[in-house]
Amino acid sequence: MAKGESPLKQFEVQPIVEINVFGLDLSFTNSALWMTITTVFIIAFFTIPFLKTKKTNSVEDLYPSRLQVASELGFNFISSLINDTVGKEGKKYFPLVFALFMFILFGNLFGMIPYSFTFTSHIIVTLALAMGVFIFVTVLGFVKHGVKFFGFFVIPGLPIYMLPLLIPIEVISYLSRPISLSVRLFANMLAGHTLLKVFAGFVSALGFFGILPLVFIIALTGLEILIAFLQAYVFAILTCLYINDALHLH
Amino acid sequence: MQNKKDDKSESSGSSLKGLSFAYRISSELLAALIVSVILGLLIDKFFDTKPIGLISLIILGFLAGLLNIYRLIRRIENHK
Repeated sequence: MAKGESPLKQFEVQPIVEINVFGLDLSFTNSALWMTITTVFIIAFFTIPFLKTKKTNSVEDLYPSRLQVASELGFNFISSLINDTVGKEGKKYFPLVFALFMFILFGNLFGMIPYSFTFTSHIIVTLALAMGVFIFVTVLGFVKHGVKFFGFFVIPGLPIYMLPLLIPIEVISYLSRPISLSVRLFANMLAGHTLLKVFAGFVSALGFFGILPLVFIIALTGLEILIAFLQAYVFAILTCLYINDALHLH
Repeated sequence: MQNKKDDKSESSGSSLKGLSFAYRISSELLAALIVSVILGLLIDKFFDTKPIGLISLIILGFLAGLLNIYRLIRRIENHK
């Protein structure tokens, strides 16, 4: 890191190709570039293992390739997650949860490559994903239950005089879902990457003793990769829980 | 063999679950407070009740955050 460069500089969105449509700034930025790379990588990761055209009629054809095992591992992971939290009816919503999980997971992991850009460290990206989940779940609840969906805000078996106090609390608690989803992912990514760069600054500033922060950075990178996976997992499991709530009400 | 494999995947899954709960608790309280402050400011703007809406909604938001955390912890207890 050059002298005088801020550890927050890594989060700057810079346009690569300037596009202006009727006064709207639709430039292709580094954020958009890394989202495209992530999406293309995911599509390649899940199609290339199944494109085997060569048929030799030998026993080796029966064994799945390593890449196929890796992609099926991801598939089974989300499939069992939905089965555990929602049950059999949740199979319909597998594509949504799977796409969200893979997009966030590989977005976080690609962000760990030096000089790359972590698009999940921007609140607007995570909030857009979380609002998508929130609106989908709310619409799903109304489609499945109609007006009865409002019964979600009433805790069963409660005396009537408690309702004026508890209904606003339940509504706030419901509205806080997309905020908590997005803020958690965004804050973890932002804090982790800032911490890495701050300690990277110490390496050059301390001279010989810079070896100490360097060792710390290596350990922290491992932790960051764990967090990258964990945050994608939390996002997926919460999406499952919200779908479960919308389907079954309480 | 099959049984052993299942055991292993289950134990790694439960440790993941434990960590995911830890990350969720901190953000639940914060999110409820953010929402209630935004709602309180909006209510004050539309009904011209300068401090009352914000104050009462912050109290409600804090209660909602506590309720979220209580539910989360009850879910952890059920998982054990």
